[in-house]
Amino acid sequence: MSTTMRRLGDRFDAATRGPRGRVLALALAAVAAVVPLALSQYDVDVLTDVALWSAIALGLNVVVGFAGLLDLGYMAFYAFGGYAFAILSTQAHWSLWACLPVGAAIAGGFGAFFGFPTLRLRGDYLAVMTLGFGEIVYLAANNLQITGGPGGIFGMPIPTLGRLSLGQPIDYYWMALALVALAAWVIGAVARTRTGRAWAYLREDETAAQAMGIPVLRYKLLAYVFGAVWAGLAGALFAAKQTIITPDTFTFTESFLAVAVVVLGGVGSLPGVILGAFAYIVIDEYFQAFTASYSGLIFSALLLIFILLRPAGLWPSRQRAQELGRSGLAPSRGERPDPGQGRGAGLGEAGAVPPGGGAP
Amino acid sequence: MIPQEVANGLIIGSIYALVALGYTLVYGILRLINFAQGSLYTVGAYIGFLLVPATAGLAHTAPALAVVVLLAAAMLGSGILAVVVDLVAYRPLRRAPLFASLVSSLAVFVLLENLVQVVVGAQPETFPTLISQTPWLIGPVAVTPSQVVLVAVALALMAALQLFTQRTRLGRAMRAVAVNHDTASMMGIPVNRVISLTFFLGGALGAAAGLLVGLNYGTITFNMGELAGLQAFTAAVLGGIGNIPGAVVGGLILGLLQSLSATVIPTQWTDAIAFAVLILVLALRPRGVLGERVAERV
Repeated sequence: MSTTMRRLGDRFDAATRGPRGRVLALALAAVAAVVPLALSQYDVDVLTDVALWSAIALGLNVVVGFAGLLDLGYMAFYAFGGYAFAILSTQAHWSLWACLPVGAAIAGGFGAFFGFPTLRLRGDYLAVMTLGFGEIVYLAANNLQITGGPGGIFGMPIPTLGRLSLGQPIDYYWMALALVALAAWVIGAVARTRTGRAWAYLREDETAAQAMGIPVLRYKLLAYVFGAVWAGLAGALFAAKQTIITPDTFTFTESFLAVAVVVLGGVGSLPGVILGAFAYIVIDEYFQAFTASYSGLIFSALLLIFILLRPAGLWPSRQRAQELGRSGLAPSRGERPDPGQGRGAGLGEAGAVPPGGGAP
Repeated sequence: MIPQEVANGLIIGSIYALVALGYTLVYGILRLINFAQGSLYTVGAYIGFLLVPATAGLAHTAPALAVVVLLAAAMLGSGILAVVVDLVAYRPLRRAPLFASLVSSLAVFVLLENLVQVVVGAQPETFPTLISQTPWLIGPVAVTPSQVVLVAVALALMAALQLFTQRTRLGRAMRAVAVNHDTASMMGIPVNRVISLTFFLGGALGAAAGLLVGLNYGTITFNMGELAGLQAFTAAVLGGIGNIPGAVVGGLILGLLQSLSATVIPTQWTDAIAFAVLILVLALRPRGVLGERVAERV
């Protein structure tokens, strides 16, 4: 499934490049905006979830796909956005529009706060740290007074725009779609800047990037914070749509599923991860009728199969070739030039290097 | 109050230590964080739970023997599962980059956890009491026979592991593989078989911990391995990952920290202690408490 998805994504990616591509992207966005008018409220609701998860996947893709950092606690930032809206709107009567930037800022701020001491760690340790961070945020939401404990917060007001009330499913859908469009546009643009190239560099070879004078820690932090912001925005929209937020919406399983969506959709490819989000929500909706645990089962199995079939690298070679400015010559990621090394799981500089090794 | 907290800390700490040994063994050999260790712990608890009816007759006449049978079954089951996990999910990725094996182990973890949920259901299960839970008073400390058994079994397993790695040929082979796969292989050590053995031991120790938790605390859930796995990983890092005595020391320190902190902060926050410790250790002293002895990794 994911190979097909990736191929589709690649073709889409190629088609949306250049001025003609921009027209195509706009046309697609217009279709996405208009088509739901003909759909049932239930379908619109499902598509809203697709859009919200697309925003999540796009944001996480910055962290995982661009900078190559495995983040297992990404949904914590979703929680920051959601709770920011929930608390500010019910207690201070802020509007959604005021809460969105605040939610994004809080998510980004916590990203910086947590990322600064941890991002210098090697990849595997970073993964565990982010997992721990996600668990702490979950524990906090479950136990704090201000977050309403396990019952969460409910009764958020319906967002308005001037005199217009935005309480219909289609209204939420359009807001979520606008967020996806904004995310895809901004993230796509950033990826083509110096910053995007620096991310690709440190992902491919951190040591070399550092040797070339790229401030590795700063760029990792930037990716982490920039990625977190999108989860914050999506979380605030999600809370507004549900009018309730509970700790259950950002458990470890949710963070895992976000990673699975990005990896299966095609790490680093914007259309790919949107397709991944679509596939996830459709599968999740279908199995909701049985029991929620099946989506975890299916996606972990898919992820396992995928990784076993593509062990040499998750990054599509076309994308990498493009990033590295040559075609077909790029070695697959992490390919071991010296097979005599024999150091287990491919942690290149394993040996006596402590987990903090390699950073300034 | 404090002596009681110390006792509680050592009890839960020995559980962390057992699970942490699984992380440390695999990390020592493959430099891989085996996320699946948390689910092997869960699977161990459930194997024991599912076999309780079968051993009911035995539990009536000789409860100690019933516990031994359950323990052996859980350890064997999870140990074999760990070997299978390695064969299926890690061995094909030995030469692949870190990201691949890490995602693979994560996928296995979630897969096993969800399989348990699908097979036995999401509801918590209640373990029958096989060992008395009536507390003995030893000075100011109250401990139950079940807790004594828990600590005794945990200590015995740790001692056995230490003896195995230090005193036997296979143990020496494990240490050799931990130092360098290729050199070990040239010395005639069957590296892959040694790796399988390592996974078996790690899974068996995790399963023992899961079963002991079930016997002692009475309730098990399909996602019990999430929190316990993370805490045990913290313990392994705290003691210096890849280091066997380190995992034990780290587990006991973490258990003590958690139970002592319960006297000053609300109990629902004690779980957060582990993560705070993990962040502090990795940020300040990533080698862990006993981490300097990198030469003696297994």
